[in-house]
Amino acid sequence: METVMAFRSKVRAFCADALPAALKWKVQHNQILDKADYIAWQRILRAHGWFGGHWPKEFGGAGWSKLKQWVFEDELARCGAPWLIPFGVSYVGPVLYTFGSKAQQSRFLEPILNSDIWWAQGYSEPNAGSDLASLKTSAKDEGDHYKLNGQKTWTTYAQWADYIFVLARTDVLARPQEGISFFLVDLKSPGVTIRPIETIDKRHHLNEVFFDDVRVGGENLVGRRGEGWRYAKFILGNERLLVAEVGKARRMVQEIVAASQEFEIGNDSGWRRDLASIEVDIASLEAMCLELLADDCADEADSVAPFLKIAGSEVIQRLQRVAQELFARDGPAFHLPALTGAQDGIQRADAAGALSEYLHGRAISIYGGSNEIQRNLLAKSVLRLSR
Amino acid sequence: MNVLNATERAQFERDIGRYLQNRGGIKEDWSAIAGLGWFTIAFPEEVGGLGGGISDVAPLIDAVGRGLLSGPYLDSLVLAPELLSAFPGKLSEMQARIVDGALKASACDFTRSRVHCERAQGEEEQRLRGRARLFVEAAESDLLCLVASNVRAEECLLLIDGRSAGFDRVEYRLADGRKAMDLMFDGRAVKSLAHCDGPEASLLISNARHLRLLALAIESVGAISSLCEMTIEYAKTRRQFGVAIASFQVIQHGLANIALDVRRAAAFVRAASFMATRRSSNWRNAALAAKFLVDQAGRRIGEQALQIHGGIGMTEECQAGRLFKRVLTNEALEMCGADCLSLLSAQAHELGDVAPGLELDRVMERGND
Repeated sequence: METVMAFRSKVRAFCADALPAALKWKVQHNQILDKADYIAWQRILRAHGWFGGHWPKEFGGAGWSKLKQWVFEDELARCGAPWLIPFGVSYVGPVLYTFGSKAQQSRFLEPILNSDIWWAQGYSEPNAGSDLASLKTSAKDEGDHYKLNGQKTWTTYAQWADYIFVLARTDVLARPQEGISFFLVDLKSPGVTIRPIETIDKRHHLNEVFFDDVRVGGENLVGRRGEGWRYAKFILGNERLLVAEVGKARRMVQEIVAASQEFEIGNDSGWRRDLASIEVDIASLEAMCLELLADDCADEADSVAPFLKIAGSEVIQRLQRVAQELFARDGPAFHLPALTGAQDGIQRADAAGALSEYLHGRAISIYGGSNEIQRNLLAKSVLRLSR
Repeated sequence: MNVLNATERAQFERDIGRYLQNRGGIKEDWSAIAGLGWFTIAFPEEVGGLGGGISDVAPLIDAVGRGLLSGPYLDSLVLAPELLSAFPGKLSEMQARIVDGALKASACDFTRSRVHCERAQGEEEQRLRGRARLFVEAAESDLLCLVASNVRAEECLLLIDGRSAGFDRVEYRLADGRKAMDLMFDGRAVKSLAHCDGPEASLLISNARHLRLLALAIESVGAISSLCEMTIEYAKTRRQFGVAIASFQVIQHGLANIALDVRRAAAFVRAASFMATRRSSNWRNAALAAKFLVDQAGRRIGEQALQIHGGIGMTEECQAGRLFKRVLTNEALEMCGADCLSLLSAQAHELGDVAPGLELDRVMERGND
């Protein structure tokens, strides 16, 4: 059997060869990637059998373990490859091959692997953020179809999406977690409105999605009615390790060290100590991730996930702060939306996209269950575990 | 070489846990633990050991911190196998006696000791001047290891019999209650059991120093684990305003933070100890990083633990303060964490490279995918 170490070298060699230089440049300089950029990279991976490598072989994947999947994404990030947007390949795909109907599987799985259908995630609502179970979007049973009404928000890249998976309430009388179902909704359906949300980094990642009497065929209910919360938690289980972005952090350290050569600060011992201490944080985060993955301690995963979310987000945010402070020495950025190509007379601060990335990064400790929620969860598990 | 597999290691940890639950007095620990055969782990097979490394003996070192054991465990079980390996054949009888629990070995603080050494009579007698510092819990140690500089200003390693003549002892207590001693040398001839100089000695001393940093980190992880557990326990039982203080969110977040610190430190220290055992190219950096990480975490955890305990945490009667003082004392031994970080950050070309071998070592350790 192939060792993980050998696999990592293989991924590294592949990236060196197959990752387009222009794409890598954009990622390394925090520039805006458009949909075509993501799709181009996904198709390069797909052609190599590595897009959806964690899917079972019978559904077109390579059957990777969680450890292998983690090493894969870690190495991609380290190489400066685009983020693998998870909504299709890592979120709804696994839900469909695990809980979906045969018809749903044959309709949607292959197009996800081929990047033909783009997915968005319909979870948060204006009054259901950290408290997701209080969501209000409703799906009324109309016999052969459901009628969807409500509003989702913070919907990443909905402007690019063909479909959205939606948590909606099918039973208003049940306890909050029990009345929720999981739907697949065509965003071209009549009654769907997508409105952009402008964020402080001046990029367009986020949207509001409105559903007004949207007709959703009964065949687009996933699994059993009322079990949507369970599928949402299943996604969370797949997601939790990916929030500890060790590979990305290592790449950021290298970029910061390289850029610091141009600034006096690179020789300042205090600054270097700060950076070295971040490196120790990265290494210890990696140690936690690998213990969890190598030990196959699935029982423990629930209680460990908050550790990874807190530690992972804090490391990235620290690095973003260091990078932003570094480039601020070159003067304030004058053009927040980062560049789309080389431009004359541009400041390094802009070329590096450091301020934009820093501002965007403030969301890391907010999304996916804010770090305060993570600390609540952690406290709950440590208080219970110790007798 | 790492000799315990994951299952054996888990069993060892359970056995140690059981020992800590049922142990007798602190004075009996040494012979009781030796009697259980646990001193064999890191010594070579020729002297009756298992031929393991620091990662194998780590659960026992962790217990030294967790149970506040006192005795020269780190020096005898981690440093001695390393230092004595330089004298093949010659000192095997001494190693066998350490394995049996009959002999204790101690080493000075390598960073702070200043001893000058000139050869006096033949191979075996040295004329020493200066002060070898901080032999911890070494009153009963018959084997003392110290560093000195020779006439060529090179580092050399000397092993002497603790009962031999030619020096004075100054004994004192450390903040956590353990005893320590310095040896004062005034130029009299001292008979050495063995000595070693040149590049071989430098390498040996560097290895021993980094192993000690790592061992101190392991011991402190044991102490902070215990401190964290007792703080959680206390928060669950202490009632104010009619409820357990653990029901307050601000206390919960304090507990979450220390639990995260412990988990993170423990995971990294385990990774570093695997690296040290297999002598991965970067193991010395990993040891420095471990000491830094644990010392920092120890301070945060100790301060938070006392805060959550409130007034009772300020009393000498409460174990929390004793655990915290063990951590603070360990921080100051050999090299404090802050200085370890300075060393790491001073290695210009290694920034961005503190522990790159980590993932490979860990994953290899666990076998294939």
